[in-house]
Amino acid sequence: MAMRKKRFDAFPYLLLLPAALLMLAVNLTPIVQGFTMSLLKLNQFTLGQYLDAPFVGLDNYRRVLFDADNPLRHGLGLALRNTALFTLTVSVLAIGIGLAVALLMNRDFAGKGIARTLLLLPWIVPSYVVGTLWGFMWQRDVGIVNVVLVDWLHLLSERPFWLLGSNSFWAIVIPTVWRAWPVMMLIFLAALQSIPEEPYEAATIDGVSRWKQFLHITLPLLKPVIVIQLMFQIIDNVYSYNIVSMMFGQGAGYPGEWADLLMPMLTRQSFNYWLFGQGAAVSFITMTLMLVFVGAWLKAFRRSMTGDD
Amino acid sequence: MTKTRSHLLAALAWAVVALSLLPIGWMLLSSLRHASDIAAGEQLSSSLALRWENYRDLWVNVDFFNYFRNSLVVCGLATVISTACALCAAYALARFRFRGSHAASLAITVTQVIPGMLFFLPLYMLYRNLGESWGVQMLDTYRGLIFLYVALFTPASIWIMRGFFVAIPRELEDAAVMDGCSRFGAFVRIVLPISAPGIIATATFVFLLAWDELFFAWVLTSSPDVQTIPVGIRLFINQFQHRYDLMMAAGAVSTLPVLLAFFAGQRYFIKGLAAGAVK
Amino acid sequence: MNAWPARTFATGLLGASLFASAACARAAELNLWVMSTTEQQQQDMRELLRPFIASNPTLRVNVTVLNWESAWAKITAAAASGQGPDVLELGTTWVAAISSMGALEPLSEQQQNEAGGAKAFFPVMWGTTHRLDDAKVFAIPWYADARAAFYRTDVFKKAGIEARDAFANWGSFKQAMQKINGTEIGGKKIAALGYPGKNDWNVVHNLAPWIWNAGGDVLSSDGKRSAINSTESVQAIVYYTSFAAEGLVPRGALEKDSGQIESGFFNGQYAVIFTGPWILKQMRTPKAKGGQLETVTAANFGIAPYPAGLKGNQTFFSGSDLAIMKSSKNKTEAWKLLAYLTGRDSQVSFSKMSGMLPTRLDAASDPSLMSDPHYAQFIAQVKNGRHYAAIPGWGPLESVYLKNLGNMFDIVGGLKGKYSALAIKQAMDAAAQEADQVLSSSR
Repeated sequence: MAMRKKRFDAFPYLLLLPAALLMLAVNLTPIVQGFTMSLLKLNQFTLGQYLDAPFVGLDNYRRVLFDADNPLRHGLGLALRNTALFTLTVSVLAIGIGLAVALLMNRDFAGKGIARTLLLLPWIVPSYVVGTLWGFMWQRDVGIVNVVLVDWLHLLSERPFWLLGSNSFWAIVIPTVWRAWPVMMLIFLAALQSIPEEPYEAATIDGVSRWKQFLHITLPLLKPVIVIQLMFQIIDNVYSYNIVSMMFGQGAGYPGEWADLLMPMLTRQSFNYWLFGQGAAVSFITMTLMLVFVGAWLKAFRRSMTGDD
Repeated sequence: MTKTRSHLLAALAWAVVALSLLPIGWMLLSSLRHASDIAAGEQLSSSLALRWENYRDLWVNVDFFNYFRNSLVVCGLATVISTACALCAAYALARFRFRGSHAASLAITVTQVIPGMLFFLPLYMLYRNLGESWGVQMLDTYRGLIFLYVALFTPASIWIMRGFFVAIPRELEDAAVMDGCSRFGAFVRIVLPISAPGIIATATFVFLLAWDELFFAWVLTSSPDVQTIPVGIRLFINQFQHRYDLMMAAGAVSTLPVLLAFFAGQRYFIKGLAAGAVK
Repeated sequence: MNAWPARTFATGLLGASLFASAACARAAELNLWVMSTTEQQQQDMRELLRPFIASNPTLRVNVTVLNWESAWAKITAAAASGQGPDVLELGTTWVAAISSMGALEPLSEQQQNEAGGAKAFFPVMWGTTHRLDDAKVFAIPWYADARAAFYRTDVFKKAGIEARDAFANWGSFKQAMQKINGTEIGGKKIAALGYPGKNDWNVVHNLAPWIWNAGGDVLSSDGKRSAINSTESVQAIVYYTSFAAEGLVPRGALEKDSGQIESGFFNGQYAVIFTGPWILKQMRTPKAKGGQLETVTAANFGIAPYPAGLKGNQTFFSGSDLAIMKSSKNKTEAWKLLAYLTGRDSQVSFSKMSGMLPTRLDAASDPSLMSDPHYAQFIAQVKNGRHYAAIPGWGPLESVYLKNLGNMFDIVGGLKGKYSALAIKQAMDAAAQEADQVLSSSR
């Protein structure tokens, strides 16, 4: 490619064109309009006018951020708290368990291939099925969790509520982790298998303990993978919607103080209160924060991620 | 590594597998019980016969066939089109340095961060305007949903595919071009076959993502002719609140196609996902 | 692969009309949205519409069946975008809200009279067709439901309780429940009462009769402020929740929804539940078809009114109305459809299919319906029926209450602090505050 003159090469642009057009069409206009919506007074009375609704500038943002009397804020603080805790817990658990099981699987044993495939099954179950299934499993009286904990293993003497009260936090965390760690395991396993044997052999000869080997050889080599997967986990969990929506979707649709996450809450409030302008404002704020986060994250870990690139 | 220790660890691995699959087993068992047995908490009783009629009821009472067909069509076509677009774009980003390539990469990452809540209503309005003013029906149609899914899932595909392409040495294409092949020809005839595992992996991944999509399918469709499985199950839950037996059967049936897709491509998928992620 | 081959249809229509004489009526297609009230709504609607189609061969009716949860969002979208059905079923609590969005076509005096006018319908139902502060009518009532108590006659007999005494007033009701709680029947101990906890859209409707009977209300009489934290309202809520706190309602019920409670009644978990006429239909359907005919309960049940509080024994009376959307392009034909569905014969048929009650006085007293004693009991309840004030802000208000009452059930279940009358009052104060904010923002 050294002989290329500085003429315009259309080929890469042409290759990029279909994808670019699609993404622009679907992402650009709606986002611009979404932002516009956040500047309008869009409620049940003005919804029919849509983009011709009264312009209120940054009033929606002000109301959302600073007005304590605002109905849309009912539960916003709680949803934010829950989402933060949820994201932290699920991300750490998914990566932790994924890594641990990857280490466990990183050896040869009979039926290893089958085991690895079977372990991926929870991820294949669609997330809305997961929500419904676990909603059923968490039932106090007939759900399998309480049957196992109380009737079979006698770990608890009284049947707890999982879908009411503070336990509902775990009721959403556990299925999410259940579904997420298999992919983590797969990715870590692949990464582990690409690590050569020599450093470990050398360390064993030197008498370094297995745990220290893990800390000083394995972890640093896995760092790029962990960093990127952690970022994806955080993004996915902040925007988590399907599981909560399906687990608590029937009836009132209100998941309770400990299981209400940001996206379900926002969707529900926007439709219940018809405060679409404010809903758009909150979405836009969230998106901006996430963009800042991604930018900062990529910058901080750029060198360790790209390695030699 | 002593033999006992290695056996123990293997046993531990299998224990993890069993524990992990418990919920799925529970779903299957419950799908074969009568609703009143479940309500009475009797579903584990071994004296009960397996009630295969639940699966028949699902098809007969719940219109499941429509949802199933719609999901297959929408997710299938979205996967094919999305993968095709992603291949081209990923190749461009992997092989060429051109003005805007960095911006394009960035844009791709950014699209992953946009919440659906922000643009579902404008998208709905856009589709409605296309229908009313331009005569191009997008709401409540296959093409509307497919178009959106392709746009939603192409970025992720590009991200993964680029990793594969970068891993393939340029020499092969250079040699082909030197022999008189066009660059596009080199792409199609040399690069694609080599990266077939990665392509299959990406396609499977997109299919899974599309199958899983609930929110937009919910917003953009309103008739059983077009609604996909997640929408069907959501509607169904409200109507048959206490029919856990049917719900579990629906869950089992919804999982089947993605399960088959996964098993069909799993060799490539596992290899491909791992390789793409590590890069 | 489109859902509506509109362009093909339009082209075909154009071609057909070129050959038709000017006097020939052009075929119109009507879209009707209904909720999934019966087990097989689509087929039942077809059956119901048969006479209408027969006498209107140039009309075609497309029925879309929604369920209650998706309906709210769909109707919002339809109202916002102007793309919706011609005729629309709306819950009685929704008419004021949707009409305030400007989405419904007002019905003229002539149309109202054609349907029979206010005097042909139950007054409470007619009250739902217009806003509290406005006489413009936007809908015609279609079907209704009322709530009453269903109890196990065999359990009462075993415990030596007379239904008449048990349901006389709040004091006697509590005593009766205490007496029958834990009665052994069919080899199992049965709980006295069952009601759903927070996971149910019925939460507000379940509490409403008790609140009204104590002299309270969920809303002030001018419809502008919340009244859920008034002394009487709180008294009623404390009374209602005390059943769960005292163990007369099993703890597990707090997590359940109405459907599960009804199942519990059928399979002998609760002796008394409060629900509507639709379960009568279930108790007449055999198990093979998804019903409960063969259960012990179906052979041993009775119906009773709500126990009387200080201000009477009102019940929650609501249902669905039918309205025409402003965006409809066939308003005359839509009106024909609406008038037909809300007509006497249609209402009687639908009542038989669904187990719901008619809203027309003449349909309600139809001999073929009244011959069923249980049905007759429900119609007798209707005179004590009451509905919420028809305000545009009802939707958001109801969801505020749903959330706060849900949190309240956490307190009742001992999951959030100690249960006490004070705790309930504080929870309701918080609810009233949020409700007032919502009400003021939706005016």
